[in-house]
Amino acid sequence: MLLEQILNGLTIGSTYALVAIGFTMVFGVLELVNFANGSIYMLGGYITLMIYLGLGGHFILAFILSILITGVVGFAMDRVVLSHLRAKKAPKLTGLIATMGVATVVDNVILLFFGSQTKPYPNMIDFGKFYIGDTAVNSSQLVILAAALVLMGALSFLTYRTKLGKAMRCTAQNADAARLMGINVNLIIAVTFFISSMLAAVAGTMVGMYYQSIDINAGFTVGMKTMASAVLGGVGILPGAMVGGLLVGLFETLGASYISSGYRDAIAFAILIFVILFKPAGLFGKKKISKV
Amino acid sequence: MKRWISLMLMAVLLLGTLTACGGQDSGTSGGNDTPDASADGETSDLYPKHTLAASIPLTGNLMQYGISYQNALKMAVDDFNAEGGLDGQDVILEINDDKGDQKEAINLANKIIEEKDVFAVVGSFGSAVSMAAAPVYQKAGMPMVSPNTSHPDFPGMGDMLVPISPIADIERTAAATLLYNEFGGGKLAIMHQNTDLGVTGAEILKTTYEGLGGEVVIIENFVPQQTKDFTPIISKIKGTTPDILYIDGEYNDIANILLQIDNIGLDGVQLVGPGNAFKQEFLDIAGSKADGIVLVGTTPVYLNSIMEGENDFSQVLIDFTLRYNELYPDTPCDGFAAAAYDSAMLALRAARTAGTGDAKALVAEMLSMPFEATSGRDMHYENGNNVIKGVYTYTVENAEFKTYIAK
Repeated sequence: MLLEQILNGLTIGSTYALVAIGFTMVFGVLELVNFANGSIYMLGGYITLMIYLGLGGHFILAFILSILITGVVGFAMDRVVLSHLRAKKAPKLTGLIATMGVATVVDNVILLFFGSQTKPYPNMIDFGKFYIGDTAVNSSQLVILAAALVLMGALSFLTYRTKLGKAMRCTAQNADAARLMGINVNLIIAVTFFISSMLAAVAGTMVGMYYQSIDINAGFTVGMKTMASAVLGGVGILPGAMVGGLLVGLFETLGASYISSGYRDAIAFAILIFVILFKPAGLFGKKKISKV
Repeated sequence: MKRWISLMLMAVLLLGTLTACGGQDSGTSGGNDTPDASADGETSDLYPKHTLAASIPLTGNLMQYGISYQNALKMAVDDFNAEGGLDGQDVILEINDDKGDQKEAINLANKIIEEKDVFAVVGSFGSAVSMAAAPVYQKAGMPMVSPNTSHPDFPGMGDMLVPISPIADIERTAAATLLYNEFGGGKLAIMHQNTDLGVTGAEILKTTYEGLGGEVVIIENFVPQQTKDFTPIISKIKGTTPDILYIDGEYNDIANILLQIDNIGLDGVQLVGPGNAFKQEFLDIAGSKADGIVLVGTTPVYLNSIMEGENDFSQVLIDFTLRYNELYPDTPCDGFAAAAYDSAMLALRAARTAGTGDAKALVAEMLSMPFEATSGRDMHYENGNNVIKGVYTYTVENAEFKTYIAK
């Protein structure tokens, strides 16, 4: 049973990791806790489903369109709301509250549009299952895990090996200095939102396919866990989000199976607090000297 | 820039007022007359009040149930008014949105009891919300008819409360007895949602099953609408090698659990569930993964395919289903809609005979009058406001509901 539970935990964990990667990226560049991330993730899932049903079964096309549309929504969120706050030099907290506002708007638009019914979701990543001893391993589980790894790799490459990534990291370190160096800071930030929302759409669709259903609580459910994952791994560090996600999933599963299923979230968060007490910057985080 | 923002704000405000108007429209569309029909001086002594209020979730996570309720309530009031209403005067339906939230329901209750023209209220969805608002109605002497409150404590909370759904005991006791008799009293595992009703229901099931001589090996719970991944619980249950697994929850959670059971593999275990799953939406999600499950509930399945093959469906029920589906093709008829229809009809029919001036007489009439329900069979009240209904048992074959034939 332990093996089975570990596998369960890793799969739940990879769904968290998928969402946490986009979340941690925005934090890395802006030091902004994006509460709308969970909602955008859910929106991506719904848009894929809507286009898929609308086109009558072209899944790949629906997936690509959904990624782009959700990306644009994220881009618009920055342009319409957050960039104005930055221009007015509003405190960071204002931005955080604004993302909560965006989350509420997105959630309710989805509710009005799709209703509160749980919708069946097509599973395009099911290639059957195989057994290791008594434990059934489903191909969807492997695909989810692989997708999280690939996305993490691709994003790490983007942030640490490309010019755009360099600009992002510069903006993260010091926006004013970056601007002096000729970096279009606002554009870089908007692009970051674009990318993180695209990731959210990928995650929303993958997780929808894995569970074969989607409902309007999807964003909320995953939102808290994503933040926990990012904090555990060290906020702003991509591999940290991945490992953090997997660990939160494991804690939750093992807590549910060996202690009590009613307290699974409480157990996961208790372990999180415990780790943070000893490593305040997260597992992969480095101590930062704050520049005033 | 400032102008742009103010324009945005204006647009938002405008949208807000528009939707608010929409809400009001739908709220009063049940009554064709002007809202102050009662104030025109010609009101007879028997019917001083003409408004039936409703407190249902029209926004928020439980919206889908509120929509079913709203449809059925409108239909009931329209039907009643077509029959002549209260001595020729139309009844007005006043729909309020409680968001499926306890606090909101209490606020609404306080608002509704202050309204002079309201003679009864229908609401709300779910035991937690209904039971939060019930004391307010009880204290004010306002009859409260509740479509789907099946918590065992509800009827005892006051003599102004009229449940339409039998308390969970009936469904769970029937399920436990069926399980014991049909499946040889094997090891039973219970997985339930962590709500007032879920916890109580699981206890009833356990007590009854053990009382019959069966063994309950494990009871696990999950948070409804929030737990998305049930695999840790399923694996844990698998470890106890049960013969039967009873899953209690709303249709969507049960469907998700079935899909995940299929992934993990739980061979040779008989799956059993409650009447909440008697919905087409349940099969839309679970599909053939639900094959073989046995479902025990106090409402029937409202599908033409089932009704054609069955002889024990009353004409009232068949008529209701066909008309509902014709009126609201987008929201298939289900037990929730039927229960709301019955709630309104029971209150209205009783009001016709007992009048709307004396709330106690109205409730007494509701509890004693002969009433053919659309939400079940053999409905009647015992010991005051304890509702009794017959039990329906179904199974799923090739992703379709079928009547379960006992061995």
